[in-house]
Amino acid sequence: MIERFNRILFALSRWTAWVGMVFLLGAMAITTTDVILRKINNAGIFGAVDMVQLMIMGAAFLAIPYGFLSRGHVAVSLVVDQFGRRGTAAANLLAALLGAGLMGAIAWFGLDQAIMQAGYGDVSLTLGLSKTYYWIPLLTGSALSALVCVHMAVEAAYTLITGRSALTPRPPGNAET
Amino acid sequence: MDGITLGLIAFVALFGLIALRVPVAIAMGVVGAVGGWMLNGSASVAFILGSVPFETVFPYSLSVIPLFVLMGVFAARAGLSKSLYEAVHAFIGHYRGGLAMASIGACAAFGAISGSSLATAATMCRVAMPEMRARGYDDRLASATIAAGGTLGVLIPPSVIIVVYAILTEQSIGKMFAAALIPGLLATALYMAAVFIQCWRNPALGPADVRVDWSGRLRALRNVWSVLVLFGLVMGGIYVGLFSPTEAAAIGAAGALLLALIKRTLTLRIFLDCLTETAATSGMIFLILIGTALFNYFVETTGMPQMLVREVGNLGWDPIWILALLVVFYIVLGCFMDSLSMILLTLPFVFPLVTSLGFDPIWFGVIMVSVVEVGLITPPVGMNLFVIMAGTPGLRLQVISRGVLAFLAADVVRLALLILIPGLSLWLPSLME
Amino acid sequence: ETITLKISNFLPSSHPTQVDFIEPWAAALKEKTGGQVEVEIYPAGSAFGHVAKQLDQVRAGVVDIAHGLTGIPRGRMPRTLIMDMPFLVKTSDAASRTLWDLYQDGDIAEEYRGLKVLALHAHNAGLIHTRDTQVTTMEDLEGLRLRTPSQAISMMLESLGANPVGMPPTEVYENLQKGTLDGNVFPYEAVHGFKLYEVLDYHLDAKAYTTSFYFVMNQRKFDSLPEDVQAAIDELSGEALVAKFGPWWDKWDQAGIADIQETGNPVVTLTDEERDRWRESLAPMIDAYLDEIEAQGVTDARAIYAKAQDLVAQYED
Ligand code: NA
Ligand code: NA
Repeated sequence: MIERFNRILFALSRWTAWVGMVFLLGAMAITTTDVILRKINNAGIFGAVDMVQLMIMGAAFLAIPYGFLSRGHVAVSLVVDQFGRRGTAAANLLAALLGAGLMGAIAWFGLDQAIMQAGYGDVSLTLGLSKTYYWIPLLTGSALSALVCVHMAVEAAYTLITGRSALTPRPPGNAET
Repeated sequence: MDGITLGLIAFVALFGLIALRVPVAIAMGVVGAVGGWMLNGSASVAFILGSVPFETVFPYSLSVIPLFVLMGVFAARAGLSKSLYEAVHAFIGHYRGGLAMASIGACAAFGAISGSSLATAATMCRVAMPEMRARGYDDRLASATIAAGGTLGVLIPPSVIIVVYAILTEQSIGKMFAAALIPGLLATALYMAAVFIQCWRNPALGPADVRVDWSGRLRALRNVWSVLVLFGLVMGGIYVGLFSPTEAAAIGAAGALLLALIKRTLTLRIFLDCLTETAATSGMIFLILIGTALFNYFVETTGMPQMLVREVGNLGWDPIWILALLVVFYIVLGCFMDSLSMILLTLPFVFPLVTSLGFDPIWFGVIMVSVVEVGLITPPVGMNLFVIMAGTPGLRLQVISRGVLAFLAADVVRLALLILIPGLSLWLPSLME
Repeated sequence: ETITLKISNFLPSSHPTQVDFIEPWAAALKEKTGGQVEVEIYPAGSAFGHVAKQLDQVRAGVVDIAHGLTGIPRGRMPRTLIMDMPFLVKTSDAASRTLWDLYQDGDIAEEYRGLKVLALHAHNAGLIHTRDTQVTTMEDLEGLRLRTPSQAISMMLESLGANPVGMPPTEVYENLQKGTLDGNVFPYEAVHGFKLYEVLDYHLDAKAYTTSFYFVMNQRKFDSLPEDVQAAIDELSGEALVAKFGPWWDKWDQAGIADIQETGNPVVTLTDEERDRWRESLAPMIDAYLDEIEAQGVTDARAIYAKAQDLVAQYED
């Protein structure tokens, strides 16, 4: 049961990240086409900036949950490496709980802002796209991140209590600077 | 409680959480939110948590970050790194330590299309480490060479860290790239010199390889023209004002994708891997930007940055000594932290201080990026060291740590030159006026 | 005990709105309250300097006072933005006083619910600036890509035949230089502030439009202050403050005028005849704009517009 939930969450995060990267490829294509058209006939794509901003919102926020699951978010493990299994689990539990709290708060209060802006009828500068479209990836990505963190907290708590590691397959992490 | 006291407590809490392996972005975000709550009330924090993540990612200029990441990932997958290494090797492989110098050269060339140090180190490690081991190079020299060469990924533009600095301090990205170019080449030359001197003193470190004849050299060169074209298009386009850095990143990513397609190195599996790698890196960078923005909201309302500027001003020191102190501070901090977090964490304090002392923000940007990149190869926590160790079976931290000492010396020489001769950084951007 | 007020401004700390207006205002408040009130200013680039957040953050109480641009976020304050209609007003003084009268009379007041309005103002009628193409008649605008500050001006430029482009003011210089923009509409002051004179060739003084700004305080915060502090704030704001903006904008424009003079580039003033022709051709656009905001629920849009015209005529006399 728990294993199945893990697998679903893992697949969901990975697919969400891929959807985000499709947005990134879209931003790449729109910007490149815009530049080429501008050089050819001196008129680019109308509202290209509005579209690229929407795609980058998608790319950024839909990629964040995967970062949590792959433990790709930059952390300093110097001290925790000296801990035993239970000590490490305690540190993991703390990190996961704080991550869940922060990402959950971002989703929760972000929803307030999104609803308020929808009420005002806020739109993008050139194309007049509803700001709600820009909010959807943020709310999705941060809520999913919170969920991933809850899952990691449960795993860490399991190890902390039983002393056994929860065996969930992990994708390789690749944190970069 | 007054802002300053709360700010100091917040810093202690922040470093405590980071030491307990809480991701840096989460630690900054949580401390920023809790501190902001205590200082400014719950309504304020609710608004900040709701609006800051949106406003942090929304600006158009930020699209440059994931696009440069994408470009580097495609370029690595197109096999460009291997062609680059072979080309440089064909010319200097027959000298003592020639393979190591070739690795530095290939890192520099790859850095010209990749925006990230870790990606450069990881990519070149796959290519160059087995070669050097096979030719009897000492692990100490071989591993440290690639770790140091990896930092050229950021020092030579394009560079994600330079973009972040430019955006946060409202400097022109194009000018910052131009400013970093000569210092990046200087770093390359000094790293090569570090290899040369080590092998001259101890020939066993890196034995000479057989000389490649001119036909072989030309053949190797033919495989790398695409890199030159891509770099020329992206950086040249920015430099002559053909398009903005944001547009250059998109064109560069599209160009690298095109190269990978032409070289037929891109299967669906590899393409999806590229996307996964880009997602992990971009998600990590954006989350750090969000965490930092939340932290900065709190820090600014504590009044600490203003106080720091005031107090340091009252010291009455010569600005150059304050700068030297900052450099030492960053090198020490860099032993324990990664470069992006270091910049984001300290910039709200350091930037007002530095500009109040009358230093040029572009010049300081080059110094700052250089000095935080040193942190990537200082033990115990050096991300490049870890990347090389992860990619090299049987390599221990003590071995690579001893190897990097010579490169750290090269870094110190470079920093001194950059500080003493501002023209190294400021001459190229001055031509863009 | 000292009270600390946070003031945010969407313009940079070197901008005259901060140097000539907000900083002296803060100093006067401190003096009037005998040092009881301290002020922290958060300009552009700081935590609270975002142009699109000013209204929300002062309503939420994140800052206590905010100076913002009425047109951003797009369409939030349709009543006030009637002031931005083309060819309505020429001087900052008339525009600012008109805005204040409309506010005092309740015509636009509901857009400021939850806020204590300290002042409303608008800049002197702006110019049309171009590189490469000189504009002297309406037809010259055909197809030019011009950066626009608000929706009303976008509609104006569109109906005059130009292509409006929305972008933050800070990006205009770079895009002019690259040629992705052919020009922009700005008051003189911004030509100086953003160094645009370096990349512009022609300036047309069309007296075509203005842009409105607000300087507002969180009402709950105001109500929570001691009475003597409230009285000091009242004394320093409202009509007394609004009256200062005409002379201020005149002064701020001087820097831009001097910059342009130094470049030697021509400044052409639109002839009265041509101005009437533009105004006439814009009548359908103004109608369409008023229709649009009426459809948004501003049922008295036409009455506000007529009243603004009357007030402007009175003040510009
Ligand atoms: Na690079
Ligand atoms: Na380090």
